[in-house]
Amino acid sequence: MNSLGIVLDNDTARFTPGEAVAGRVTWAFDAPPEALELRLFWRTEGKGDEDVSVVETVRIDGPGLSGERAFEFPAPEGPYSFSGKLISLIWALELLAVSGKESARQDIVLSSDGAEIVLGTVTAPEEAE
Amino acid sequence: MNSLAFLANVGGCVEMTFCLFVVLVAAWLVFMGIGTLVYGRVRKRPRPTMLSWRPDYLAKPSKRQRAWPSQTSRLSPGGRVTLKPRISPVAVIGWCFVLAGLFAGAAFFSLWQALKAFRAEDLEWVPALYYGLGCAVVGALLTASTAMLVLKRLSPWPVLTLSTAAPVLGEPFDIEWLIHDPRHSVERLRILLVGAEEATFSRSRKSETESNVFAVFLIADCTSYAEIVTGHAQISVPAETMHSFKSEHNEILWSLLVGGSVAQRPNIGEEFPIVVLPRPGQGGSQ
Repeated sequence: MNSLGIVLDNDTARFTPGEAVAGRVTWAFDAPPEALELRLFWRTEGKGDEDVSVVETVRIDGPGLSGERAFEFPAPEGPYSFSGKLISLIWALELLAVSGKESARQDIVLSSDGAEIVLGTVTAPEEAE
Repeated sequence: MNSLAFLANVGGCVEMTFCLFVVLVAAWLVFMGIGTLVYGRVRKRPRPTMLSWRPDYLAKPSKRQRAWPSQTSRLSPGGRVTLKPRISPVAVIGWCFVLAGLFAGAAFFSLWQALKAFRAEDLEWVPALYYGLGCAVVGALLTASTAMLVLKRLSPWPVLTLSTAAPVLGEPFDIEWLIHDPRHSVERLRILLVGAEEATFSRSRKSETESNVFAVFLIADCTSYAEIVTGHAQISVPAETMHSFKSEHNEILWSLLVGGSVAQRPNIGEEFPIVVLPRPGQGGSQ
């Protein structure tokens, strides 16, 4: 049975810009994959069509049947993680086997204070009188 | 009228009105084509270098936004930026006026020919009436557009100056306003900073966009004329909110809205999009 895992050094998975996103990835396969890729990316969810942007990629060639590898990325300056009425932006780390179906994902939060920004709704200025 | 009479004698009244109609439509198409080319060139101007370092995910002005520093303002040293509304040049108003006059003249001439043919019990009054009404509709639209452009140009308009071209979340910046109002007709002025999320989604074959305003900050609400004409304020976008963001289908927009009640003229209603930046990284690795 194949398994992939991402373990963060920071248990809270909350980061501020510039802070190190560090941890280790683990894997175990029945048959060795060609390579593994660890990606740091953000995606949008909500009413709008989904947008995705991969910010960092680390490739592990010839990973063998099992193993683990430490990683470290500097947390990007933005965009911040937020959740609004129409749009949410989610940062995540994803480990996947190249030319395979297996993958593992770990969501993280990026903002100036490490907390997800929540956007509410206010009366539009045209309506406010 | 001599040349018109000559042409009418040569080709007949209906043919004359038809030719005139075709010429006017062609002139209109040429005018629109040139306008599109000129507008396209204006829109393709490169942004000032001060803003060009912005990462791709930071919001850029969308099509509906009416003013943007790269097109309507000058960046001065120290990061100050001046925002002005887009006002139609006099040449555009002049062209609209001339075309409106030509179409109105063609409409009058065709309708006059139609009336003459009708009285003479000549069936040519039908196409002449058709051409005349077509010209009258286009002429009326052009006249209304010209009047709106003139009125807009004569109405009071605001100029905003920001102490920084791209404010940073949580950091204060200054905003100065100046209202060009030679007739002293502005009775109330409000300036707001508005944050909105905008999502674009596909439905069947159409693309639709939905917006949600998540933040409104009142910067100024003036009723005294001295305060309306010019003033300044210091504001900051709260650190715990979202900075400008743009991806293919999703966007966070920040705008300064200037609204003014004007006596006996169209009210002021201008939107100036601004770019709000995230706070610089604290980890020392950026």
